[in-house]
Amino acid sequence: MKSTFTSSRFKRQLIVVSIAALLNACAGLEIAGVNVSDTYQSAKTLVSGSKLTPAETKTIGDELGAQLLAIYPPVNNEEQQRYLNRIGGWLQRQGNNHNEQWRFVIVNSEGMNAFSTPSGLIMVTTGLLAVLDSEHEIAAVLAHEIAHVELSHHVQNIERSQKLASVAGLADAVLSGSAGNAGSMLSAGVVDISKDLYGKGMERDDELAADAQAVQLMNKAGYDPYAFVTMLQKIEARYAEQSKLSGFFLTHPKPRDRIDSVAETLDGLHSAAQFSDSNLQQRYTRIFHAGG
Amino acid sequence: MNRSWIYGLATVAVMASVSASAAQSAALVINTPLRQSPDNTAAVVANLNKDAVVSVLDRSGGWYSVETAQAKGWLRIVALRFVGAAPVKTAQVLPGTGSHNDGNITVATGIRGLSDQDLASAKPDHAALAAVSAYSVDNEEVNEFVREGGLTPGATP
Repeated sequence: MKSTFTSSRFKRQLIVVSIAALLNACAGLEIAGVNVSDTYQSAKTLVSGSKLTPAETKTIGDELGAQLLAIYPPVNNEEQQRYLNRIGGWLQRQGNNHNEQWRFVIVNSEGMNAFSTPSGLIMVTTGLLAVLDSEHEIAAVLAHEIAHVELSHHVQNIERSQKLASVAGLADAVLSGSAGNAGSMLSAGVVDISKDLYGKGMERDDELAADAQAVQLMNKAGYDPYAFVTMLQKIEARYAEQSKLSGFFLTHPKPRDRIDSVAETLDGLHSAAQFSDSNLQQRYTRIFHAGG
Repeated sequence: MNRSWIYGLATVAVMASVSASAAQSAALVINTPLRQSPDNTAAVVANLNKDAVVSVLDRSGGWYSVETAQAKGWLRIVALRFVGAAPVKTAQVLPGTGSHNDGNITVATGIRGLSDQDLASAKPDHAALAAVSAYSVDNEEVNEFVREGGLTPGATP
């Protein structure tokens, strides 16, 4: 596989062997809750260009999650957090990963956003929840993130981008003899991956594919799939004012493009389950607006 | 992946009536017919042009009930965009909790936008990761949640 990092396969192999030699000497070493040997295996995978294993995906995904939670701390409200986990857990069970224990978290941020990691950690900001009006719309947000994980978009992004520069940094640090800083070395590698996933964003096609998958998950779970459109419309209504804040928006699908794209999927659904909207609205109101 | 369920869904119609607490202004993004009822075959009450402003009264599945100065009827959900955002209700969502202002508001789920600086300076919080894992729910809790909400799975392969 081609690499922009090094001109020599031998050099890459040398780095891997060198890391292995050092880390094998401290097998089982755990720093900041991270198993360094596992991390080495993940690094080796990236260097060698092979596919990430589920264990490696879990290691990298949880490290990404720990990084995001450092930026956006979780909200200290057990009822709301469990509510989110129940919605997310039900949606997750409609897909292929229903036996895994995914985690859904409300995090503090005024910005409207949602994130996921390849290990099934899904985060929604308070700023986004604040503009939504129903359990259906929360389900829409979660379903989109679930779809990203289901469709292995993070893993494909990592494998595609070949974060060899990150691994190079890790290798150089290890080779310089500072094994005691392995935790920060790992973080440095993860930061580079996260800049792609959470800074630049997913590929446009991945976003639209996740939208299409999301409305199918919602429909299968018994949620109103059209709430996916209303969710996007609420974001769209704030798009013009907020897009001035960052050139970032120029490089990502606009809500209207996503609405147009997902409309095709909705047209193909033909039908959906019936649900009692009053029950859902009552508990949504109780959990998010009690006394409000 | 088995997606066959989407083709075999029952014929129960979506009637997700979502009441708006107050009529909200919207502008059409395409020329579109205004129909008497939420159905592609319903009689056309009026033909509305792109950029026409309407008041949104209600929703039923993939249709909005709207009115203009001249007419009232239904149009497809994707035909409009809301004009002016409803007030954000942060305080109600999270009473008593502070909210991190990242100063770089991002605008869409699925769209990212964390700054490189934020990502580089963050020290991974493994304690927080462990704490949020405690909120996970088991199958029994999920099933009870589904019963309580009256959610009817739509999957009928």
